[in-house]
Amino acid sequence: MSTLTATRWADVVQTVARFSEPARQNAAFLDLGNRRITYRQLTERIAQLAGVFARLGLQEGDRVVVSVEDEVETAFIFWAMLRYGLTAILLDPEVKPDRARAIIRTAEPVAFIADEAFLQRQQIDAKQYKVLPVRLEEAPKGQLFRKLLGRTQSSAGASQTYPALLAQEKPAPLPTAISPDTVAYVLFTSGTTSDTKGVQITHRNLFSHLQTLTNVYGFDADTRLMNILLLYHADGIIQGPILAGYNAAVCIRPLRFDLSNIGALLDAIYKYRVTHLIAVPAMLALIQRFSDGYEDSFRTPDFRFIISVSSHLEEALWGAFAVRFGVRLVNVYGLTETVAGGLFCGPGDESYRIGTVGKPVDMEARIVNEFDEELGDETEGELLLRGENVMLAYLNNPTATAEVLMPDGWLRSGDIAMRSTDGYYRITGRKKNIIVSGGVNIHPEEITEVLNTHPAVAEAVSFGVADEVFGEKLISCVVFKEGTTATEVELTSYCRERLEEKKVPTVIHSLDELPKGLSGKVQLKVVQERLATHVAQATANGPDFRTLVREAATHAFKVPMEQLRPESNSRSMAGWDSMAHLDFIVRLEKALGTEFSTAEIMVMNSLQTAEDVARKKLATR
Amino acid sequence: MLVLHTIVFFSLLLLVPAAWLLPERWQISAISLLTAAFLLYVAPISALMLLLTAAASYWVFKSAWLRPAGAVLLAIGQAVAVWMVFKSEWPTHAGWWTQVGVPLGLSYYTFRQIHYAIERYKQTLPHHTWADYLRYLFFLPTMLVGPINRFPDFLRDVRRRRWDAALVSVGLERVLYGYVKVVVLGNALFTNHLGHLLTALEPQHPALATYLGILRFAGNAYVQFAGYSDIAIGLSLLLGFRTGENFAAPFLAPNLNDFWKRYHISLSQWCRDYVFSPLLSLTRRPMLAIAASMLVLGLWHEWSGRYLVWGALQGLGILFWHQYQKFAEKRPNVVPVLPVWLGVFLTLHFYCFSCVIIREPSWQAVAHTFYRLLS
Repeated sequence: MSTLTATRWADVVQTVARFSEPARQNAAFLDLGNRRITYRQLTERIAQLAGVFARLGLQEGDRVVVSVEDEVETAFIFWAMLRYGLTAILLDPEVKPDRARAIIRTAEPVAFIADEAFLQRQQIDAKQYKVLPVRLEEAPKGQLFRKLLGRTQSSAGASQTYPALLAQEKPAPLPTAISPDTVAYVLFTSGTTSDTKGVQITHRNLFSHLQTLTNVYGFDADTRLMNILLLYHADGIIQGPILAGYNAAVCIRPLRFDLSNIGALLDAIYKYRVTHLIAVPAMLALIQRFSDGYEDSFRTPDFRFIISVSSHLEEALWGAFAVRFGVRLVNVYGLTETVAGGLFCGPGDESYRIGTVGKPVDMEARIVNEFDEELGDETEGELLLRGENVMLAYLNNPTATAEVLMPDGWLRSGDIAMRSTDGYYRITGRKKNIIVSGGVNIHPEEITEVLNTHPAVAEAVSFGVADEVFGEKLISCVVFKEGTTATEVELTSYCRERLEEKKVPTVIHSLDELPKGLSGKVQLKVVQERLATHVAQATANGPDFRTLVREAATHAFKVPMEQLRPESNSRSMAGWDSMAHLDFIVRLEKALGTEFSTAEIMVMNSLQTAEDVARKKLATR
Repeated sequence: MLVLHTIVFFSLLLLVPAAWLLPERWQISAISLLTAAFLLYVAPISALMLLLTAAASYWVFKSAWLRPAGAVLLAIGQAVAVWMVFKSEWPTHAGWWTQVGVPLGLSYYTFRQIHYAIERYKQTLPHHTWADYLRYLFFLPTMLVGPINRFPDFLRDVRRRRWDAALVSVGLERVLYGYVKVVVLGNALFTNHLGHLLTALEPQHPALATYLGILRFAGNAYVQFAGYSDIAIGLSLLLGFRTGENFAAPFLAPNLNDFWKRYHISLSQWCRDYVFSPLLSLTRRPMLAIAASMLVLGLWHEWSGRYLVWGALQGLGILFWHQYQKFAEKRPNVVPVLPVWLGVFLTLHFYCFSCVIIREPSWQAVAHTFYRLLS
């Protein structure tokens, strides 16, 4: 069953032409809170960059590595490259040198547009490649004085760095057409250094899918899209400045996500009249936990729905969040290999069922067994996808491509799914060995590979375990070489030097040996079981705070246990008045055999804080 | 009344334009500076006391040699001391000065500072600066007649405020409603018309006139105060701030406990959070905590014997209701469940009759009123 419809989409030439329509000229393309970038500025920058590209002798389809910290410049450069037909190799400025080297080796770029720091770190030879170094300078002070004296020209002479060199650059004509088969960008997914996978997305893939997203979400030029995800991930850039640009709408990025500014993030919904928020489930889990008093945040005249992307949205979180904030959460299922989406749960009621990934849009989906035979409804199997948005291939990696792309165009998702009789898909498991932690895909082999290079480590293994907030978290186990050892801190900092922050294991255990099967492969299940019993033993000695708090609450506030959530508080629960509060405290004290102080009782006005206070209290006893 | 007009005109002519026409980073500071200028002109002593107590209640927490418990006690102590000196009109009685009176808005800003000190002690406040705190205290719309708005809510509005035509329209509407309550219902209807009516009624039906007079006093106090609150909330909205509601149809409350959740909400919530809860946590005795918070609620209005008694009566009323509830739960067959209309009737009358104490200038007059009612 499929819902494949032929969609007409605008290509990059038509899209960029819209930027300079009179109505869009002064409209915002990016709103960073303290800075606003208009479509006029974007159009000008695209023209100027075309001049730079022409001077560098770049041509359609040339691969150019882009690694720039500044978000505005990244968005400018990416749009300009799309319009000029260049292929952007997006390389996170945070990426560690070893991995960057492996990616560059696979990508075989002709040019670099990157921060000077990156170029130095990677020792990029200006003789071997065409290089455009990026250096952002603070506006020098005393501009007014200089203007008064008529000295507006910089005394340093012609600059060699971007964007300063634009001052002496002549805009070049833009190509009249870009082939839909030209690769628009390449994003490298996590993987070992010997097996880098660069997802190649063509203009057809990208722009047809932008139209799909536009149709599904109901976007237009009045859309005010807030997306604060990192731009070097597909969901950050594609469902951010690129999707906004496709609709000539505004992308709002006033802050970076951080535990300390969840309140600011929620207030931004009203302040910037946001209509749609793109978020990852880990973000939603943290918002759900740390937003007492902000329940009205999405009930603004403008806001329509939240779009949850990039990893599995837990059914419990989904339902609780929707009820608490009175807002609809649209869940998107997709892969870097399908640009962004593929299956959509919502926004319309006809595709909305909490806990599922909804239904495919502009894609065919089928579920197959291990012999690639199609299965019927209500049967588990691997999910295959086909559509205009499926990638061309992994760059310079035919083996990896052959593993996932079938000759007739079907893409293996690596996810185990099941379809209901009325057409809803539900993800039930995973076939590929990958961990999704806080919306970031991690190949555990990449971490194992790094740990194995540590002088004290004989062998290592890494895997994911379920985590309430991040979906999964990464755990590593190591076996030390005889006569050597290292502390967890040492191993962690070793990893930190060689891996992006999100790929550093949260816990590193040391084991005497790794259990292996007949084939010599590490038996992950056995390792996980051993660790689980180990952890269970450690926690069995203390009380189960959450249950005790819930038991006290259900009696004191006369609320059924299943309605109690950690974030339930004195404002959200009708039965939680001052008298019941005292009853709750007394019951909890009895259960824990302790007595709370005045200050402690006063702050315990949500189940979460009560649990935290109780935990702290007993820890210090 | 005159001050109210002045505030409304000052706000519409200067505050609102400054709050939206200046560059965004200056808007909030402009509101505070204009408030300070207004206060300096209208009531310089109030401006001075506010600045001094604000400085004390903020900087005491920065002191290196004070522990948090000491700091919170000092912060509260200084605010209460200043408040008591003026509220008891002791300096006037002592002959220190003759015509000062109570500094404008003192009761409100004292309670805001105590709220700040306790929340700061509990470490529940978001990150903020001295300037943020001053902006919170120097906010004209809620300065003189409340509500006793909270600091985190104020900070949140600073962060999210933007021009919102719908909000401004609601704000104008609220100011208008407020004026109708104060001028039409309060001044014209309750004060003048009903006043004349009662004077005419007095000779033939003294008991009825007294009874209606008692209802009139409480009713008038309510519409006037609710009207002022509407204006304060409306002016806040015009500046992009949502100030919480202060009244929610209190005369429809079916019991006294509920009444005090609907009447002067910001004050009763303050008493709940900063008198009732701490005392309850400290002593574990709900009855004591209720009594104390209602006493504070009474004395907040005026530091005098009659308000002490008035507050005590409210406390007794709530205690009585709690006992009745408990008893009714235990013996559902013995104690009848009151119909809602009877609950509303009794609550309204209890409250109105208790207000006789604060209406009359002396205890003799109070006794006389009740005597006339029964004659």
